[in-house]
Amino acid sequence: MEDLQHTFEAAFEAYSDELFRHASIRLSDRERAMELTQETFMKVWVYAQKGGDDIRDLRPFLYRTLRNLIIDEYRKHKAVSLEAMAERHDSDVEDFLTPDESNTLEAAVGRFEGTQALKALEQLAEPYREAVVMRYVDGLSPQEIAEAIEVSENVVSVRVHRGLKKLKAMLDEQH
Amino acid sequence: MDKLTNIQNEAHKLRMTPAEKTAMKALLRKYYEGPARPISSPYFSFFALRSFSGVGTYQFLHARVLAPLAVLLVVFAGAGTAAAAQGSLPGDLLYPVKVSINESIEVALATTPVAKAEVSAKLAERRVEEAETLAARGDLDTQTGQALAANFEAHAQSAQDSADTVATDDPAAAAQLRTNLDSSLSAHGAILATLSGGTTENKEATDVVATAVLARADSGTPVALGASLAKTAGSANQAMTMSVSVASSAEATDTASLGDAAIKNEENPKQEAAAIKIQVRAAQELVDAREQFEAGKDKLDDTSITQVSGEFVEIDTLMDEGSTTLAVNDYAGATAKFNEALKLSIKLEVLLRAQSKLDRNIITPVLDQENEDDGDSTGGAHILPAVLNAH
Repeated sequence: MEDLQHTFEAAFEAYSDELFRHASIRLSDRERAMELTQETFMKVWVYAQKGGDDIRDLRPFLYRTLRNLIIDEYRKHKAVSLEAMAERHDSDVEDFLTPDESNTLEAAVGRFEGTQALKALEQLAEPYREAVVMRYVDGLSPQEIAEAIEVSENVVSVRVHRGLKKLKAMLDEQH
Repeated sequence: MDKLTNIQNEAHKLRMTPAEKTAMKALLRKYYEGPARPISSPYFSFFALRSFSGVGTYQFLHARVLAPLAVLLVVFAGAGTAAAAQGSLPGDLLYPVKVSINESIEVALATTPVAKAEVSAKLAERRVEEAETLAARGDLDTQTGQALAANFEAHAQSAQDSADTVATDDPAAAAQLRTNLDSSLSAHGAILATLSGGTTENKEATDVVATAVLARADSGTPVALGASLAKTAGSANQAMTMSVSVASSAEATDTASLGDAAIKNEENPKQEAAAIKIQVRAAQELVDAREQFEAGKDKLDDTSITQVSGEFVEIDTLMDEGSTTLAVNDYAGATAKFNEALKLSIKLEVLLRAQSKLDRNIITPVLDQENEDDGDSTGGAHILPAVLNAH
């Protein structure tokens, strides 16, 4: 038990900032982001104590828990569910693009000013915002994102790509 | 990941302040250590809870604002005088220093609505404690009694006003502030009632203060309590909303047992956090009450010790029941239990603190009186219908 607590306290040091950052961008509400960050650790703690056999790596698990809390939050505000949106788009074969095109988009979005780009990101529709935040703000690999949000790596790549595309369009429009 | 450094750099500016982080860490540690040992961390003060409600951060700023005031105090009165004045009573030479200088500084310290409400509540209580000390000695005269009652009333009103301000942003914190003050005042009301004796003047002056206190405590009569709840119901008092939801789910399903109430809905994380918050607060108050008991135990007679121990057993039971209820995800039920434990702990702590200052037995008369009234005061069964009617 002491060991587990130690692990959690270390995890808090290591991940609380990035989880808070993630929640802030997803919710655009600082206070709520803080509360959800705290609840994430509480929930994962309870889960870990009950055995929690499927926690292989704490970081994606924390993200997955935070994600569920954020989905609850969206539902409260009557947003379209992430799953519904994902199903609508992710089967499009044309979206399976080569990494080259992704790189071009990254470079294009990367040229905009940070404040402006982040503001646009906060406006980006879900589930693309989630994918882009995880990939470029949290710095998770597509594989880690896939584990956290329980979809395939392909789906992750598609969402990141589409997200970048939309982000670029939003930024271009502002110019 | 080398890409989009523009967004990445900007996003890294979003962070919790060190104070927010420390507070969260402390609260989580408390949580990890678990409800099984809720009294183990006295260092975990309500500071963390305040930050939890999002206002604690600003406390750090006050030191800066306050420093010049503190310097002023030292220049005019001298730090020694200020300290000496702190324990003074009406009629003492230094009492005006305490009320007009020391307390003005305490008020200046408080810049957030929560801090303002807490300071005002503390000052209101302080007037009552002064009245208690004088009344126990038989020294409370009419003029002093009226002055204390008026000053009490002013502070209680400003505590109420600040709590109302808090309620718009954070109904749960406002409910907490009201619970604290109400519980403490109803204990003080009971204490004053036992002190009402001696000369006619002392008795009358004590009654003046007691009346003011009980009017504010609200729990003097169920009717008054119902009315005050009706008043606050509109301000979305979260704790009460929860009690109501317990009552209505019980009505809806006749057979509802607490364990069945584990309904999955989106409100759960919020309710759970609210329940845990009250649990931690109750645990903290219980620690305070126990410390007060241990510190003054050797001066208590056997009857008082037995009675107080009985109260502790009752509070422990409520805490345990709360934890069990929480474990089955019945957050509203758990909140109600913890809230009850919190109220009892505050009352007991006030009673024990008063006992340590006064040189006559007040514990036995107060607790005897409560038990006589106990017919319908088991957790406010008569309160809930009043709340429901108010909706």
